[in-house]
Amino acid sequence: MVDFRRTTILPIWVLMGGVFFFVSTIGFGETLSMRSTAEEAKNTSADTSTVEKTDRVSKGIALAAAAVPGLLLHGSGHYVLGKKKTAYALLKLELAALGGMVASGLYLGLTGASRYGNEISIPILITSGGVFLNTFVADLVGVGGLHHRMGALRPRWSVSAGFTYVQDPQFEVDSMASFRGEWSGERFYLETSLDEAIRVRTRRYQILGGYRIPLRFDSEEILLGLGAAHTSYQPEGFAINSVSVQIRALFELARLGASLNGSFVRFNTGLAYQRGTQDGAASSTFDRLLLGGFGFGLRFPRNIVGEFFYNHRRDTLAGGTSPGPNQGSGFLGFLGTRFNVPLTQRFAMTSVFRIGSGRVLSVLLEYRSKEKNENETYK
Amino acid sequence: MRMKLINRYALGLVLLTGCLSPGDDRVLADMSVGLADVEGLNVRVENGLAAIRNAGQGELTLWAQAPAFSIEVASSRSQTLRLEILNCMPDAVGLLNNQPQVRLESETSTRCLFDLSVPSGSSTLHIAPSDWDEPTEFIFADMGDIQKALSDVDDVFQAISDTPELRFVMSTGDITESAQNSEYELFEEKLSALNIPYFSTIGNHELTNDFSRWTRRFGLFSIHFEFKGVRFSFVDSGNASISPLLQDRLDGWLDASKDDVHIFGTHYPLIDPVGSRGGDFRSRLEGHNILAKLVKGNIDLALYGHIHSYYNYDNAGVPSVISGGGGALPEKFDGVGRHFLKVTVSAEEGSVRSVERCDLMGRRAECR
Repeated sequence: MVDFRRTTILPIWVLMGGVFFFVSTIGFGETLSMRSTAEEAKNTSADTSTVEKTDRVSKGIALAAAAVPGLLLHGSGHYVLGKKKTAYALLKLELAALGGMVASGLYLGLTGASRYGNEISIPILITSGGVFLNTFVADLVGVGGLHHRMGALRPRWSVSAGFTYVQDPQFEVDSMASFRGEWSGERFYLETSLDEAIRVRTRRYQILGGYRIPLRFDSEEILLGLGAAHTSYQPEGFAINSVSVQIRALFELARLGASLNGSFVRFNTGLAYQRGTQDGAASSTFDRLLLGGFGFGLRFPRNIVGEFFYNHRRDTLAGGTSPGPNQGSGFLGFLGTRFNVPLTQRFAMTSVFRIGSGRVLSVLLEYRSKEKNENETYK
Repeated sequence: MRMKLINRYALGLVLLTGCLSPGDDRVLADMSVGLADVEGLNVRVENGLAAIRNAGQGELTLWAQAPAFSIEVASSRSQTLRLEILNCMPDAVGLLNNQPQVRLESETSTRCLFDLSVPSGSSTLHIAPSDWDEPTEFIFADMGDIQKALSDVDDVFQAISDTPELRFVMSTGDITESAQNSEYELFEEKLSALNIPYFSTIGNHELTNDFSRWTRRFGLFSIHFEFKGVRFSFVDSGNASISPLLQDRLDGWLDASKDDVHIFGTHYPLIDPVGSRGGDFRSRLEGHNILAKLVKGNIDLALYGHIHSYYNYDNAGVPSVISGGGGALPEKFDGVGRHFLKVTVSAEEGSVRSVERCDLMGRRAECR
């Protein structure tokens, strides 16, 4: 039987995981966050002019350096461009991430993925893996000049409706009607999503809400939330209900340097408790699911936002990833991309593509609140 | 230019991803196991329950993946056939067209040797212990996850051999670390310490190299057979998933065995009892989906490997046991070492009577 004794130490693990999460993510440019806005504005204009003066050849060399040795030494591209502050910031974060990856990887490897301690070692592995990947991409993006500008004002609320296509040979479901709703106040937030299959009785509802900690930039935030989800696969004869505790964060990479204006990173971690019910079963299943993930996003001209992400959750329509045709995993979550393209001041198109053991494409039309000053880009 | 870059990234992401049902190739490979047509001799092993290692020049060598199976032989002429069955039940007898055949002496108990006089036309050969269809109680062993401990696995095999009344071993895979030919050779060498046959599905480690190595040596990736009224379905979840093609077959097996005692086995646990670790199916939804099938199919016991420890738990009413004590890097702090399971089952009583964990104490096992 499941050893429930360990559940008594769970809150401690979750707390410790949360502490690490904060330390590692807030580490994104903590020193830079102390700089005054005026100072940054000065640097921004200096950096921008430097970029303008940089010829194509040096940009090419910087891009090459961001790849090799940048793959191992993150920030190499910025270093070649003379943006040493950003380069060192990326390198420091990379080293911290490597430390986290090695420590958690060693713990998992040496203990044979012990039942004790995985609630902290795996979130550290995911978060540090995310920091490692994000700093590498940030270097490429920064020297590649893909940056645009700081985050646009977030709409206070938005509602979306659209279509989701699921390709998963394991299940009957294919086409779904999708609805989303989001509200975000100064201190609280609420998100809901609903996917209802058109042809068969398969559905997924989710609600998440909680406390919002605003940060330096309007687009930045740390969200402490409680969530609930209901997934029902009636043709297959099972359903899963879950409740979760989650911490999510979005940080602007402008904290690390003006060359990264317009790019941002996301992190999330948490734990879900699940109850599974099978048609005709004598009892339900009770188990846990670790939540975690990271993403890297960019803002393009015309307020188009694009991002790629990894989500460790394996109970969504996308399931979990197999790294290749010949190797199983059972551990990894899914990958995804998200694009938001404003059509007018109030309407936007959102497309989300997720790939794990299934492929899921959602296309939604979003209607959002009109902010007072649409031209303002950040506080 | 920037949009082109984005498109390129998106395309790269799509190309990076694996296929949605990666086990399909192996299901198709299973369909051609146990078939041969050489020198006027057509051989078809029923349900592919034995791999044909050699056929021709009056010889037929098989690797058995079940305690009892039949072979359809069609010969263009009367001929003498030397039949060698490796991984055979020690007490197996051969019936050619219902006529008992003399089993020749052999140096190991799991090698069955017959000199058969095959008549022209179609013949049926049945290889099984004489009590194979009596629904009385019997005991089998279950183990998994040997991997890097292959060189020491003879300790476990010796302990199994010394445990009385065990009829055969069922394995949930991960015999090798990286599916090298040398590892398979070593495994077969180590099997000489075992006096009963070893029937196995694959684990993820068998997929780290060309999977046809498994087919050529052992045949089936997914095994379904009946012994003494008890059904066994050990299915391939090497990709942390069960191929939809295989699920169709599994559905058939479950449906046909609803009223029988039915033991299900696969490498990956459908749902890891330590859910936060995630050592289970790649999709939690698929895990629940297969579990729903097991519930519907009245599975009496589910056996898993992959996690190198021991867990005995209830999963939606399905008694489930994870046993990965073959010697691979053990899970720490669990107080569990190398072990195997001793499962007592009776079709007559319609139940799995007991599942004991047998811990290795040197070269002997202590079961409880």
